Formats: sequence, structure tokens, C-alpha cells
Amino acid sequence: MGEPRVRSTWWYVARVPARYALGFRMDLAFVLRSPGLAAYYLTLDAILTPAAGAATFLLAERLSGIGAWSVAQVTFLLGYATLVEGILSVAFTYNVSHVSRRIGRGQLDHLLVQPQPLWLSLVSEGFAPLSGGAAVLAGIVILSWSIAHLPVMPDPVWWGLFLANLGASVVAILGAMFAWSSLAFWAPVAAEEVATNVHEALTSLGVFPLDGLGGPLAAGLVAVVPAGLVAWLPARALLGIGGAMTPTWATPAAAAGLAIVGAVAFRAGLRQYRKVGSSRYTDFGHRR
Amino acid sequence: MSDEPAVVLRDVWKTYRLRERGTSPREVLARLVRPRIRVVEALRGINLSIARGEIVAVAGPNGAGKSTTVKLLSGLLAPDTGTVVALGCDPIRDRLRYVSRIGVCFGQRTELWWDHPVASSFDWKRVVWNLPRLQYDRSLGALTEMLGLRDIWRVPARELSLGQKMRADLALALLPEPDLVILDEPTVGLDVLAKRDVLDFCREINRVRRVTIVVTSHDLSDLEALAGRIVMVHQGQVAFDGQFDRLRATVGLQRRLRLVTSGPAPVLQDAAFLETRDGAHEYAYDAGATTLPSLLAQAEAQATILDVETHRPPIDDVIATLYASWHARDARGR
Amino acid sequence: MLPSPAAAGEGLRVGAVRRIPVALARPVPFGPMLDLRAIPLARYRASAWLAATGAAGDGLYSVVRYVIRLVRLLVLLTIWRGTLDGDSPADHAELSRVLTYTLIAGAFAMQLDAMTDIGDAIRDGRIATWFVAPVRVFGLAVANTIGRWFPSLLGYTLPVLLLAPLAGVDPRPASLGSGLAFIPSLGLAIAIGFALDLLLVSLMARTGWSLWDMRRLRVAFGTVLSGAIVPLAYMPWGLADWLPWFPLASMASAPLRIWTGDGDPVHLVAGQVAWATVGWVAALAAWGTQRERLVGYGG
Repeated sequence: MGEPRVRSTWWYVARVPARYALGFRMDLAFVLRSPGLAAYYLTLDAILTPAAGAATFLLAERLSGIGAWSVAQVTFLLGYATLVEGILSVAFTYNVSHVSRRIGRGQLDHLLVQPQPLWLSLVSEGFAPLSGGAAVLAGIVILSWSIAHLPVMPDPVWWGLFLANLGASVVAILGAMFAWSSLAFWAPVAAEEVATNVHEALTSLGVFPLDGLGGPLAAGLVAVVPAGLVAWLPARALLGIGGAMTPTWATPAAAAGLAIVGAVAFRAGLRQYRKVGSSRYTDFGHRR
Repeated sequence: MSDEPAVVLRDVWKTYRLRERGTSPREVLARLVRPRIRVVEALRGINLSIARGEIVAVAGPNGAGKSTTVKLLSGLLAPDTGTVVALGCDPIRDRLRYVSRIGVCFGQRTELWWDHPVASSFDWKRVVWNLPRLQYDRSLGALTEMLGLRDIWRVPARELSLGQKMRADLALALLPEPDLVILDEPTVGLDVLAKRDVLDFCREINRVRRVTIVVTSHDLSDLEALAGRIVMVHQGQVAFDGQFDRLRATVGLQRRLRLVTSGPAPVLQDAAFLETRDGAHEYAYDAGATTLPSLLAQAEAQATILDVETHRPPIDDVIATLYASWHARDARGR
Repeated sequence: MLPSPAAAGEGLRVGAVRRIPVALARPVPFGPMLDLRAIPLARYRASAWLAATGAAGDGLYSVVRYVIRLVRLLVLLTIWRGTLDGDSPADHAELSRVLTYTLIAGAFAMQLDAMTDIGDAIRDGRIATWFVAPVRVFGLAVANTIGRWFPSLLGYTLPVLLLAPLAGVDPRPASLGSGLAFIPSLGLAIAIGFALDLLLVSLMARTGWSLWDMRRLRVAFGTVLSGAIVPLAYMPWGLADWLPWFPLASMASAPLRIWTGDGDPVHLVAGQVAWATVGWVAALAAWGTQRERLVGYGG
């Protein structure tokens, strides 16, 4: 075998579509091999992901809205949150988003022996478009219903802003989960499930209209545990709730900040990992 | 192929800091406020050089520093001080270039995709390692033949037996035709047949492709069957580095003598009685200190000898003697 | 000096006939799980203690979890303030009651959705070691869970109750009677939670569904339909009338209503006793039929 060349970052960026194609092939094979099992997972996902917002919806229905939010607007918020969660389960499954588990369980070693930058492994390894796609469909259905009942007529610009905010919400969640998960580099056992704690906080708080929170708490829910970016802030901006107080660039800007924090924390953690490695290994969740 | 060694570790030190927990309520609370840190020196100035095409076994008691050495060689850990150079690369700084030329197989960790057929994991590896189709087909063909992958090709990883999983993992590690193969406990949990297959295969790729192999195992007879050279690590230092025969010599020219006699076990002055099993009495003796005829003469004076057999003690016994002597020396040192 | 055959033989014999304690030599009891005749409490205490110190040893990382829980609680309190913002005294009283309800629900969240780690033990194969310990398997799981609760009760529940007035919430029960009745009610809620846990792991073994999905099912529906987030009285479409009759309501809504003085404690506790009995009979039956599968589940 000859000396491998050192590749540029762009060379690796260009590999992403091929990685996704590979993920699609593998996922398709998985679904076709056990259609019953796949149907079970898809059904469960389609029901359970939106169910996270059941309490909010029931409350809104009982009280004909929550605060300044009408029932249709609350439903939009829930559909948006479901879609964000669905994108995470399509593109960052296999504990890629719950990366504290991989770190705490010593599974990062599997990634570090791959001849590609770590970011490429993380971006591509958790891609399961078919088996993880039910929540996306559920989100789209809920969003479609809510938009049909909203007094707005979305135009192409609105859809562009919608997609930008949607992507930003996903990035914000990943940034926060990677930042918090970096604790596992220092405390693999104690912090193994910190991503789960953060994710639970995001999914349980992200389905509420968070208007009325005091300054520090609201700031914390945008910058520290960004539940406000899961759906509340983008939905406020996109639906114009509260007038011009919430610009449509707020979520993308906050997401960029969180992405930087997540990347910095993770890189610091990786330096620590190079020093101490992992003294434990469990295979749970690894590529399952 | 260049003459420079495949692996060089030069004065490598590695220290870990472990937080100790309390057991009583007072201790638990006290250590929350003021954690107690224990410093463990995993490697203390290791020096090691492995030539290209060599098979080297790394062994040592639990906690000796084997895993740390393997992780350093795999590019997973950086040394605190000292240098690690493998295949001309710094495994940390040149990670991408380095890992594309090595194959790592952790016996207790599978690289296979759990819910997918074995074939999918190989397809994944082809894409991620960016293997040209021609090389992939050639390598896969050879591996399929040598490791018998055909019967498990379409089976999901979670349905494989331990031996089958090991074969698939080994093939996966070797798929990119690496120059250096690191095998960490590759025979753990395998039955004798599977173990023999794995060892035969490793010898074969070393013979055919001159692949450098670094292997760790607690099963010393496996290591002896595979490697000519053994590096014994103890308390973070190289305690022995040489051929297996030389290792045996360090604990004396130990031999075993089995006697079947007409009566009870004779008492031999220059041999230690070990046990009587199935009517045969077993003794240990040092061939450098006494001779077989002298022992037989002693035995014959006490009983009629019906059968005689001598053999070298299993390598595990030699190592156990060595470990015991190290532990005794450490205890005296404390 | 080399040992003689006799000396070597002596050494072997000493090793071979080492005395085994009588208690350990007896067969491991696999009898019915609720045999109250001789529960070796000390063994469960030891397990609970280990679990408690293990959880307490997490130190700062526990604090992270507590902070996340606290933020969630503060958000829920804020939402209620924004939603029930009427001006009449009745509105104020209702808001105050709902805030107390939400606070207690947050403070005792782990107990109001009692869940052991038996599912994890089955998944990772640890259950096999539990079966060969001379204790009841589920008893061990319960002991571990209660042990893990202690640091959380001290580090989270107690401070939340003490500092609640700072957030403008009255943490006190509606009356002394409510406070006293809350104790058995919480115990029954925990018992029902554990029964549900056992039922779900049995179902997991029966169907092969993953532990993760079981947990998601429980969290998604359990917390909503039990009244652990939103008081059942605030459910639409008539759900408020019939949900309280369901077992999930006995896990959270009943003790919380007792604490806030909403409803007759006798009726609520009676309902809990009924559901606890039904739940445990069903759980024990399911466990009995699925035990073999449960042991094999982890592979």
C-alpha cells in the first residue's frame, strides 16, 4: 500500500454526499430485511415524538390557547419541535447527538481509528433517513395542519426563513449537546448520560411557549440549555408573535454562537481524551 | 520497503490521575469538597523498537501498561513525555495518514454494525477508508478465502457467534491491507478451533505480506504460538524483551518430569514434587542444576520405573513464576 | 529447599476443603417475590447505601442534573403564571394551588414516576448476577432505586421546598391532615410506579421491544396522563372527568391533589390502594411467566 496523501478539508467535505448515500443504502437494507421491525419503529416514532408536546396541546385546547398563542400557533410550535426532533433522529442517530454516551462508554476510539476527520465521522455516521424518518413525517403533518389554520399565507421568502430557522434550531441543539457532553471527557461515568439530561430538558421545555420568563432564565434557555431555540423563538419570529421583538435572524445567530461553544468545548475535551483516553468500554448503543 | 523500524517508542511516560471515592458518609462528603487524587504511572520510560515484518507479543500482568501501550500505538493516546513513531508517523499529529495504514482489532470491541449484515460493514469500510474498488475486491477475496467469511456474509452482526464475530472483525481490520496490525486480545473468548484459525491467519499474512503485527493477550501459549519475540511489561517498564526461549531461560532451564512407578511417588532430592495424577507422578526440576540420569537413578533406587516423560513447562507456568517473583520483589521493595 | 511430596499434598488438601459458610451453601431462594416472612433488610440496606454513595459521588455532575430539573420547574411555574392570570381572589387561589401542585410535582418527580434500573440490568446482563444473590431480584432493584433517590432528595427536593417562597410559591400542604395523608399516598404512588415498571419489563421480554422504547412510551403518556405535568382538571374534552379513575392518576395526581387539598384524601388513597393491589397482582403474574425470558433477554 502506498503512502496515503494528506487531503484538504474540502476533499473531505466533498465526501459527505457519498457518506449519506452509504447511510441510505445501509438503512434501506435494514428496513427491507425486517419490514415488520421497521414498521414498528416508524409507528412508535411517529406517535411518541409529537407526544412530547401532548401536555402543551391539551392545555392549549382546554384554555383556547396559551397566553398570546392561539391553538393553531401552539400547534405550529409543536409541529416545528417535532420536525426538529425528526431531523435529529434522521441525521444524528446512533448516539451521535447523544455523544456523551459515546465518550463515556469509550466508543470514541472507534471513530479515532478511522482515516477521516472526526467531524466527518460525526456528520455522516448517524444518518438513517428511512428508519428515523417517521418523526419528520409527523412534524410535516402537524405543521401542515397548523399552517392551514393560521391567518398567514406563507410566501417563498417565509419558507426560506422557515428553512433557515429550522436548520439553526438543529445546529443549536447539537451545539448545546456537544458542549454539555464534553463534560464526559473529564467524568466518563458521571456525565455519560448528560446528553440525555440535556435532550430531555430540551424536548420537555422546547414544547412550551416560553413568553413571560424573566431575563436570566430566558437568556439561559437560549444560551445554556437552548430549549427556547427548539421551537419557541423561531416560531415567535416566523409567526410574528410579539410584533417585531423577535427577528427571524435571532435563532440562526444564537445557533452560530452555540455551535462555536460546542466545537470549542469538544476540542478541549478531545485534548483531554488524548491525555487520559478511556479506562472503560461498554458497547451499548454502538452502531445499534 | 525501508529499513527503518515499524514502531519506535522512546522513553515514553504516561501518568493517569484517578479520583478516589469515599465509602462512609463522612468520606463521601469530604471528598466532594476536597477530592483525593491518586496518581498512577502507567508507563515509566518505555523504550521499544519493532522491525518491519516482525511479530511481537506484548504481555504483562493486569495494570502493567499493556493497554496504554496499545492505545499509544493506535493513535488514541498521546504520551506525557517521550516519542512514539510508527510507520514514520506521529500517531497523534499524523493521525489521518497513520490510521489509514494500520489495522486495529480490539478483541472485546466489535467494529461491525450491529443490526446490519456483515457485508454492510465491509461496504462501509470501503467507503470510509476510500479503498479503490480493485484493491477492495482483491483484499476481500483473499480474506473471504482465508477467514471463511462466505457463510456469515449476509448474517447480521448481532446473530454471529463470538468466533464468527472475531473472524469478521479481523477481516475488517485487514481489509485496507495495512502495514501494521495491532491486535488487542484477539483470542479472548474463542474456542480452540476459532483460536487456531485466527493464529494461523495472522502467521499467514505475516509470511505473505510481511505485515508487522503487535499482539497482546493474557493467553501466553497463544502468544508463543504466534510471535517469536515477547515484550513483558511490568509496572510501566519493559521487564523483558527477547525471544520466548530466552524468557524461559530467565527462570532457569525448567523442565517437567513425569514418572509412572510401581509404588508411591519417589522422593527426589533435586526435583520438586508437584502432583500425582492418573498414576503418574509429576516433578519440576532445573536442567541447569541437575541431570535427568541422576534423577532417574534416584527414582530407580526407590521404585521400579514403568514409564518416563520429560517436557518443558507450559509458558503460562513460566510467566506465572516470573510474575510471582516480580510481586515478591515489589512487596519487599515496599 | 524443594518441598517433599507429603508437604505438597498437605498444601493441596488445605486449599481443596475450604469451608463454605452455611448461609451461602444453601440453594438460592427463587420463591415468590413478596415473601414477607424473612426479608433480610440489612442486605437491601447495603445495596441502597452503595447506590446512594455512588450517586452522591457524582458530585458536580449531579448538580448539573439538578439545575436542569430546576430550570424546567421554573419554566412550568412561569407558564402557569402567564396562563392563569385572572384578577379575582378565586383566580389567585387557583393560581396559588396550581403553583404548589407544580412545585411538589417537580420536587418529587422521581418518586411520582418511580422507575427502577431493572430494565437496564436486564439489557446489559447484570440481572444474572442479581439472580444468584441471596435476595429478591426486584427487591434489589427497588433498594438500588431508593438508594439513588437519597442524594437527590437532599440535594434537590429539600432545597426546592425550602427556597420555594423565593419563587413566590407556597410549598406547604393545604393542611396538616393533607400533609400527613400525603405520606401514605406517596408510598402507594411509588408502589404503583414499581408495579408498572415490572409490568413493562415483562412486556419488554415478551415482545422483544427495546428498553428505550418502553421508557419513551412511559414518559410520553405516563407523565401527561398521570397529572405529573398538568393537573388533570386542566385536561380538555372531558378527559378531566375520567382520567382520575385510571391507574396512572394514582401515581401522581392523587398524592398531589392530597397535598394541595383538592379532593377527599380517603377516596383518593382508597383508589390508590385498589390500583396498587391490581398492579402488583398483574406485575407478579407477568414476572412469574416471563422470568426465564427476562434472564435470557440480555443474551
